[in-house]
Amino acid sequence: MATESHTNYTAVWAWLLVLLFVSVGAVYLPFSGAITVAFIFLVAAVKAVMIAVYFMHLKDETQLIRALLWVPVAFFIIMTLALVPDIVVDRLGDDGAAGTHTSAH
Amino acid sequence: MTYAAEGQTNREMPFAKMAMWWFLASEVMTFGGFLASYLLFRAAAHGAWSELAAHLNPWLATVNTVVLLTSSLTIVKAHQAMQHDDQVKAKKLLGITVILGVAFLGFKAVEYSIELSHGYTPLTHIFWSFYYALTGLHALHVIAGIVVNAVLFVHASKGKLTLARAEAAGLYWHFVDIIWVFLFPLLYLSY
Repeated sequence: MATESHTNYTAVWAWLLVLLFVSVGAVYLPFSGAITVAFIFLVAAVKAVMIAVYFMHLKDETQLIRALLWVPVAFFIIMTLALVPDIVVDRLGDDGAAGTHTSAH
Repeated sequence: MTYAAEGQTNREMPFAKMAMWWFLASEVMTFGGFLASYLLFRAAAHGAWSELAAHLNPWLATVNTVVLLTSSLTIVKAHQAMQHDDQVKAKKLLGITVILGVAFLGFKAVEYSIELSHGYTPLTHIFWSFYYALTGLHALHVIAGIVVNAVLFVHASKGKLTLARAEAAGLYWHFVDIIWVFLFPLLYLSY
């Protein structure tokens, strides 16, 4: 935006560093791998949103600009999820349950 | 300074900014394709890649993350300085951003040299292929950002930097930062 943002950028940066060290420290906590990975990626998502909202000024932007970011992100998520069944079928094949599936890996 | 002061009163936002957002939209899909492939291959490996990922150096990558996050702060401050038409401050902050970008590449080069000295090349395993492709593509983006920021540094030195250019360069640099925010846990922390 042409108008000046009154965001305290140094505070945002400090929070980003705190979140970074939280995610690094989470690896050493006695939780299961799945919970730790989920937590780490949740923290990464929060950091990415903070950069987009405050540093890229998305909070002050028009709907068009917001759509330019969120539509491709939605496509990325759909693309990834759409391919998940391939892994599930692959796993069944490895277990011998599916029988007919052959893996190229 | 405002866009109007740059002779852009006849449009809602400068072309540079709109073009940058369209470019970043395409970049989401470029990195998205790579990241989706990596995620799915890794999930299909049923945890077998964890042992390989453990050979990476998370501490060096953490330092690099701090460097990149700090460079995001300096470039957004440069943009803020340009909103007050403070070319001198913008020049100083752009210079620091360039130095931090070079430092990021330096740490990355050290990391690559350690991994290569242990025999982990892109041909060793598909995990390493992904590692070098993802971090290499990101590093290319960092190099492009450093060049652009260095050019703007020169513009600011001559007192000719514009708000629109400072903002567009900042948007690109923050996007490069966001990509690293996801690469870092994907490669270094998820073992």
